Amino acid sequence: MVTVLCIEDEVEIRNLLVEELSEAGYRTLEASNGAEGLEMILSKWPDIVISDISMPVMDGHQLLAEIQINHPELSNIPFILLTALTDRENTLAGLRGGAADYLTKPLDFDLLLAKLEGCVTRLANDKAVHRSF
Amino acid sequence: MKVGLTSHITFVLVTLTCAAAVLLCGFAWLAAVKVDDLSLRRQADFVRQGLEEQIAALPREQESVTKWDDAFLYTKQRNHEWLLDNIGQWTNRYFGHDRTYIFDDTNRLMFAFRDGADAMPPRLGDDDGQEMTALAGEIRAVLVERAAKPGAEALGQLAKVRTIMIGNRPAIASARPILPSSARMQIEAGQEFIAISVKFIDGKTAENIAHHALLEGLHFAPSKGEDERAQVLVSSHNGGTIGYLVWPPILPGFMLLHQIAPAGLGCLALLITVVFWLGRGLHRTSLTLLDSQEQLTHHRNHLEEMVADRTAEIERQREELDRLLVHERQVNALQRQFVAMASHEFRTPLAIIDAAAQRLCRSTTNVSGDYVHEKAGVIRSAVVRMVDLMESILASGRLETGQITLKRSEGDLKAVLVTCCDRQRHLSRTHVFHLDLEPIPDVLTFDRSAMEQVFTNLISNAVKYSPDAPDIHVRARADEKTVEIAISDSGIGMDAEDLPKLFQPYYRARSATGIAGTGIGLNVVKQVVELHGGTVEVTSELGKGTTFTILLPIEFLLSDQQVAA
Repeated sequence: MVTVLCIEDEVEIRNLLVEELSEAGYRTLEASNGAEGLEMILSKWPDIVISDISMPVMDGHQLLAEIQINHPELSNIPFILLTALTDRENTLAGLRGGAADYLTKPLDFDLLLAKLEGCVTRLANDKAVHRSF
Repeated sequence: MKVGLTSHITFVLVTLTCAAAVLLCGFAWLAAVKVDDLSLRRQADFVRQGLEEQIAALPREQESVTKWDDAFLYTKQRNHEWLLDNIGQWTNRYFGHDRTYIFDDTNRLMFAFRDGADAMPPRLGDDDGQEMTALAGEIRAVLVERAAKPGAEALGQLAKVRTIMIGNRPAIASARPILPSSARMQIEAGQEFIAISVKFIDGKTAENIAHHALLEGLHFAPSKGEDERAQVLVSSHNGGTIGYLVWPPILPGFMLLHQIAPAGLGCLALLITVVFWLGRGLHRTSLTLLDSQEQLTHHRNHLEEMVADRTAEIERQREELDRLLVHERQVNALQRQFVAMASHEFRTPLAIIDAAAQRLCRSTTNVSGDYVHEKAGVIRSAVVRMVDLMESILASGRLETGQITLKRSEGDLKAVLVTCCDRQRHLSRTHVFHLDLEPIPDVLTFDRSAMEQVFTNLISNAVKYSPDAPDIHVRARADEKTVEIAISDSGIGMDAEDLPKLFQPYYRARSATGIAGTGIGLNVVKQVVELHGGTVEVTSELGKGTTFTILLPIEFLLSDQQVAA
């Protein structure tokens, strides 16, 4: 079962997201800010992370940087950032920072699930490759 | 500078005056000496001339007596007293002859007149006898000579004039032949009658000379006078010195001074007055000039001051403008930040609504009525959130342009507060609201929707900024004068430095980074509260929590008037 960590400070969005993912068959973890998210990543090792950008304590960019710099062994975990449609700067920065993909708010759940599936497939292939070595 | 200029002018003027006075005195002195000299010389010339005239006059005078009446000469014995008296008086009176002698053709003295009186018998005196005789003899000799070889010269023009001493008196004597007019007197050439006239210089003659020379005190002195210039030499006919005609010399400069002094002094006085006047005028002008100069300098300095002032003022204005510009830029930055925040703030509830709606469509498991109800509730909450935000923004906009008009109506303030709390309770189920509401007057006049907004803003802030602290305290108190409403949370709190600026539009405390907010809510709160005549205060401690306190004056809330913002 694939574990997805949802980092989002807006409770309602987080709840709906978690609901959707659960129904789609993912195991879900939750965090309400970047710091909590980091804790979760380090302790629970999720397969995929979906993260908002603007959050208190530690935001999405900071979290990404933190992983890339201080925990490179975890940098392979795909990050999907939630950005605003018109927030080009954040999107570009996030992608440059190492995010695998992004989704714009309001979220299109179909698109979300499709992207997750793609991630899962790639992860499986990666593991297969690694295992063969 | 003042002193220097004045003294300079004074110096020049004084020098000029002194020079003029010196010149004047010099001229006066020179003139006095020279004029005295000239005067004396003129006087001497006059005297000399007078003397010469007296000497030259005798022959001419005798012209008038040469044509004597035959009768007189012929009848020299008969009625001679009458004629002789006439002649004697006449020559004395008109010509000033002191003595007159007439010698006949035999050189015998016919008549002798002294001082106009006939001397009978006629005789020559001791003092003049010799001289007269000698003079007569000389003429006779000339006549005889002439008779021998007759010359062109007319008889009447033959005359011998002598300046001689008679006794010790200087005299002019002249001898000449006289001819009777009558043809009856047959006189042989060489046998003519001879007349001799004598004028004493020290008597009437001197008087005449003095009269014509306009002199006083002219007299004969046998020896030299003291002043060379006030004497004329009288020499005898053969070159020797008889004596001098002397008069009192002019005192140096006296005459001149006497004549010129009044005029001179007057001129000097006039000159000095004029110079003084000019000097004073110049002095005054120079003072005026100096004054003007001072004024100009003062004005120039003042100008410099004024320029400096203006420059400083311009500097100040520039600084002010700079400050305003900086402030404007900051406001612009804040506004841009606000716009970004506002769009984010709208996007979130929209995202919630969209997600909830998608869930309703997609859910494969939970399609029960409860589920739908729950999702609908989420949607509605999000809508409320958006509406509140929209109202807040609109109110803020209207406050900025001054369009807010409080619509006051009677209502229950406490009830409004409670309603807002309830609404928020529904929105944030994680938070617990503790109401501590003491009685406040039931019926107050206030703008209901505005106060709703105020309470909503404060309560939703309390919730938003205390994500990990669920307790929210709402307190209401009232005394005779004031209604006090306090809303406290135990959330993230704020830096003390943010508190003074907290109520400015778009301002967000530093501790709020990461938490979405437009920064306009508190501004709306402050303005609405102040429109109700009240105040809002805030206390906060970073990490511990925040309390907002609204104080409303009851007096205001009781009045009936509509207040325009």
